[in-house]
Order: sequence, then structure tokens, then C-alpha cells
Amino acid sequence: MQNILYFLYRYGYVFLFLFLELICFNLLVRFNPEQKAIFIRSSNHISGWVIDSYDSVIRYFRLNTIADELAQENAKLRVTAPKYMYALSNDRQLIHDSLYQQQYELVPARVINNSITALDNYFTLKGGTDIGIEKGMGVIEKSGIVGIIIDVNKHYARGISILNRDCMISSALEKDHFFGTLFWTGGDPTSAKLGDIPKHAPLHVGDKVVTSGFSTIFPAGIDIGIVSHFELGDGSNFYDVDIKLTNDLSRLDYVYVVRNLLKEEQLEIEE
Amino acid sequence: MNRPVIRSIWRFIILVLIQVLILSRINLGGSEFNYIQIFVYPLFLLLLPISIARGWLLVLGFLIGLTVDMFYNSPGMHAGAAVFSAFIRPNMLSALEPRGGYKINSVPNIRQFGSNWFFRYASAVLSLHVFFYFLLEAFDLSQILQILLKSVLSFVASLGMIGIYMLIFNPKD
Repeated sequence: MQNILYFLYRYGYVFLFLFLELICFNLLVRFNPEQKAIFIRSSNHISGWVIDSYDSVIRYFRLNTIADELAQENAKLRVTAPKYMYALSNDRQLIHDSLYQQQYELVPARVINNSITALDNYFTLKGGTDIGIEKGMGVIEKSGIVGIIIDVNKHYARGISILNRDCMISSALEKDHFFGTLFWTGGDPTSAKLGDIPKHAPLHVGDKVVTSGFSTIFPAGIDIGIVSHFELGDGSNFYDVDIKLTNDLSRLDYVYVVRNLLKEEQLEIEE
Repeated sequence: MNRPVIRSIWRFIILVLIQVLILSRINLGGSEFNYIQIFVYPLFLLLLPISIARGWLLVLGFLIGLTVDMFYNSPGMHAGAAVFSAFIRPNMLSALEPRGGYKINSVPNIRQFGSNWFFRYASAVLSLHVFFYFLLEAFDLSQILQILLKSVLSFVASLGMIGIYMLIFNPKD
């Protein structure tokens, strides 16, 4: 206590100085129009900066919610594209509404575990039967495909990624619709192989590879990759094609699980 | 009331009157070159006794600044500068302390310390006072060159004015 009093006695004038200057400052910006204008201008500048920074911090904490909402909305918007519809008429020039029946639904989900370095890679999604994920569904993301669900319980789903030797996906060249099978042999996680492309197919480096839509798993026309290299083995009728994947599987975050509403019908007739 | 206090009150009144009745109407640079303002009221703070408490010094600085502001129609500007001068005066005094220190009742004027010492002391406080004043007037650091120019010119003119005052009155205490 004595120290505090001594401190005030010794340095009280500094507080008095600051107090008086504060009064002067107050008078200055209150009664002098020019200073007032400058003060308001610069304080707006500062307060704007403070509010901006505060907002960016708050927004950072809300990112999870925002990302969830965006994923939901994306899924909703995505399925309105004709790709996800079953065409009731072949004349696609006409207006969509009465011509398409919804064939695919997208369920947004978050990837909570993922590997790319093993020979057979798997991923885990947060969300299982509770949000409508079932075994055998395809998983895509905004710029490519991810894999296929192989196991599901109430809250989690597990899938084989396309970086897995067991994962075979029916794919096709976007241009000419020659179809083949996408597979992976290990190694580089940004590339895969495409087999069963017949040798009479006009193949070029840079050709786009998309899903074929022949299976019940993926809709047709989802991006997979770009032909980066191809060769015809001796005496072979099929090309050996290397593909550069369009998506980066090492950075999965939100993905969409594809639900084919007409799957049963297709399987039934194919039996 | 003792003599120095009454003297100081008179000085307060006289300096404020000189400042607001005469100097505020003098425009040395003409209408388009208003870079020169003459300050004489800081002399009141300069001539207060050395032993005065820092708190009192600040309050008196605020008072005289505000009084001048009332006439200049610039609330806060002169007061802010005068409070600042009052704040730095003791530091300047201790920086200029003669060998053997100050006597208990001494007043920092020409009679007791000589004109050489007095003008060094007055220049130190006055230059900062003037600079601080123009800083408050511009209220914008981007005009720093203009502020400095105004400060230098006004400082010279003000120091001249203070010299004239000291020559005429040459106060004892």
C-alpha cells in the first residue's frame, strides 16, 4: 500500500499529464471542425480495421458450420444437373423439368481418415446409415472420383479409394466413348491406369477420361483424369494408358456419396 | 499571498493579453503565407519557480492554454501544447542544471542564470511547444514537412518576442 502511494506521489504527474492531454484532445476533436473531420476519418479507418479483424476471427470459428452448409447446398445443386438425372426423353433441347427423373442423389460427408501411401488405400467418412450411406455406393468430390463404399455402420463408412488394387471403375474416353477399366498399380497417388481401350481407338495425350456410367455406382461423365501417356504392347489389342488424376486424393475434405435411385431396377434387369 | 504568486498571476494576465490582443492579430507572412505564429504565453510556464510541483505546473499549463484557446477559438490546441510544455519543463531544467544544482527558491530567468543559459532553456521548451502545437493543428502526420517549416519559422519569431519581453521587464522572480 505504501509503495502504491509512493508510486502515485512520485509518478502521479504522468497520469495528470495524460489526463489533461486527454481533455485537450477531447476538446480538440469536439470543437474544431477540421480536427474533428480528420479524427472521424481516421477512427473510422481504425474501427473498420478492428471490426474486420474481429469478424475474420469469428468467421474462422464458424468455418465448420459454413463448410457443412456449403456442402449440403452443393449436393443439392449438383444433382440438378442432367448428369444425375435419368432422361425420360432423348430430346435434351427441351426444358428439363418434365423430361428428367432424378436418378442420382448426393450425400455430402466429411473424410476423417484417408491414406494414399499404401499399396491398397482406404478412407473413412463421418456418416453412415444415419445419413443414408450404403455399401457399394460411389464417392466423388468436386473435381474427380474418390472410391467406393465397402463397409458402413451407423455413424461411419469405410471405402476403398481409387488408389487401391481392388478398385476397378468403369470409365470411358469423353470424346469417343471408348470404354475401359480404371485401376491402380501402386506408387504415384496422382496417377492411375486405364485398361481395355482397344487399339483402334484414336487416343491422344490430353484426352479426358470420365466415368462411363455403365455400372450402377457412378453417373456417366464424372471427371477422372487426363491421358498422360499411352503405348501399345507387342501383340496386344489393348492400349496401356497412364492417366493423370484430376483430383488430389491427398487433400480430401468434403466428398459426396452417390446414391443411385434406379440401381435396383438396373440390377434386376441385368440378372 | 506571497510575492512570487501575485507576480505570477499578473504575468499570466499580461502574457495572455499580449498574446490574444496583439499577437493574434499579427500575421507576419501575409494572407497566403500563414506559416508564422508568435507565441509568448509559454513564457509564463518558463518563468515559474523551479521548485514548483509538477502537478501544479501541468494544471497551470492547462489553464493558460485553455485561456488562450478561448480567444483563438481553438479549444484544446494551445492547451494541449501548453500541458506538453509543462510536462517536459522539469526534464529540460534537470538537463540544463548548473554545476552545484539549483537553489531552493531560484526562478529560471536571465537575472539569476544569465541570458546564455536562459535562451538555451527557453529554446528547448519553446521549440517543443511550437512543434507540438502545429502537430495538433495539422492533426495529420502526412503534412510533417509543412509542420516542421511552420514550427521553425514560428519558433524563431516567438523566441524573438520572448527576448523582447525579457528585455523590457527583466523579471526578478
